[in-house]
Amino acid sequence: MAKKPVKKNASKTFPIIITATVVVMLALVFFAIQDKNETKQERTQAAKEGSSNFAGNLDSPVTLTEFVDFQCEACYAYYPIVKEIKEKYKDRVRFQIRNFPIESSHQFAMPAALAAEAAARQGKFFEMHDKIFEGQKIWEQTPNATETFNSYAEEIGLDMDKYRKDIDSVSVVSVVNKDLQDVQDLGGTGTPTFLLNGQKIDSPEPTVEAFSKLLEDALAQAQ
Amino acid sequence: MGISKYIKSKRTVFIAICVILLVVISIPTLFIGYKYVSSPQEIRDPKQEHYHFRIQVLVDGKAEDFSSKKYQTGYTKDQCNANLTEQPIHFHDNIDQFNHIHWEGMTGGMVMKYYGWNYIGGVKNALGYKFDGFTNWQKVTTHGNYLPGVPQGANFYIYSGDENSYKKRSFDDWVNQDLEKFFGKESNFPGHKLNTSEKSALSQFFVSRADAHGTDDHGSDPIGETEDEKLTRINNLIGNVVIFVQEKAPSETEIQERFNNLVPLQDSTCGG
Repeated sequence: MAKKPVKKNASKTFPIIITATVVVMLALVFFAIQDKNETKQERTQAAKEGSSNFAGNLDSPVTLTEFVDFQCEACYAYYPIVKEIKEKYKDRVRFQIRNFPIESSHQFAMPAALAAEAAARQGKFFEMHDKIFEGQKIWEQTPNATETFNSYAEEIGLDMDKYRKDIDSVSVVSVVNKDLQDVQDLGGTGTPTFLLNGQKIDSPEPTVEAFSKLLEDALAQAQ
Repeated sequence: MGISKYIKSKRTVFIAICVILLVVISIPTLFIGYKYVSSPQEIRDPKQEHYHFRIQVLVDGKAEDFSSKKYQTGYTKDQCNANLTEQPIHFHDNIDQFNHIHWEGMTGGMVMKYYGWNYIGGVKNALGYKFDGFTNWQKVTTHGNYLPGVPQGANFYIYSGDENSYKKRSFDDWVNQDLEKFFGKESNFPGHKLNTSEKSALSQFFVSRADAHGTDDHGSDPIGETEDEKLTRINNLIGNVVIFVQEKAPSETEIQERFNNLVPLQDSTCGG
């Protein structure tokens, strides 16, 4: 007599426990997937405007964009090649430099990018860009590269008060962050990252010949 | 009678569905759970790092040559990588002794297992599994079983230091301690600081974001820095270790000889 209700209760409890376990497990899977999606959404939040540093023929149908990290050794190796190519194709191709400071690896990459963008506010991005790259082997070994960047700013004749104000300004910072966001969206995983007419391409060999072929092909296609 | 039978059979079907669902969910959960618990936190959720230490291993007096091909790996030289490297530990550029650590939290035990001496257990021929979310994981395989067999009756005699001074260390400390703790020196890798601070989701993905007014310089005043100190800083060298695997303790001369034999540091901050 006493055993019967216990048995009845157990037969009711068992499915409830199983249902609850299944629900909890499904919920865990759901939240794991949800969490991943939310992280992706957060990643896509970006600043509004990226950098706008162009050289060469601004009306050209062919644009070569380079995302650089001023402290990257590979970018340093590409620098003289790209400079030569910029000179060679200055009348036919539009060149753009954008920022991809890998701050997790290079402690001065971000200050260098901000210095270059602050110089851009006075129309001297490329002068600063060249100075920073040409001095890479010197400033990267100093504990305080910002002093070196400041001296470059003076050398290229920047208004130092404005430069100092700009370098820490939210707008300059957001320009660099927008570049970072854009290169991430484009699938860039390292520097330099090159784009041809907005499309990410495999980095050409660091030779004038390889870049010339790339640009000649693109120009021929554009005609 | 008919209704109660119907309800009973309905309940049986419901229970059967629940049991099947439970089994279907439990098997992959247990499978993933095993991978998860068998992997140390540093492997499950690795953080980018890049520091170096010099290691010498001598088995019965014979020094292992880490510049040999079997220990070496390649890396992409025409690009600076913004992502976490695939390999947590490696030797490259045919340089002996100079070991690169790319993931935070690596221990001497992990380094030894990576090259063939497993004193930490865990997954066979792997440091564990790297998880990217709940459904994506990747086995972090070791480089290979290249270290020579440990002779019978041999002991581990471990020393850390440099040509000026060194000290004997315990096997347990070497095997279990984070190398930064073992050597008593923190990496100056910029990501090290970023890893420990609160970051945006974007920066956790692969890059850090600039902060307004937040571009602090790192390092100390260079005044008074010797050439050795400068190279140590540039190379982000956190220490040197010499491991003798032999029956009897090495002599002071033998130990000193090894610390006098450290490979020179390079004048460069980059590399894979």
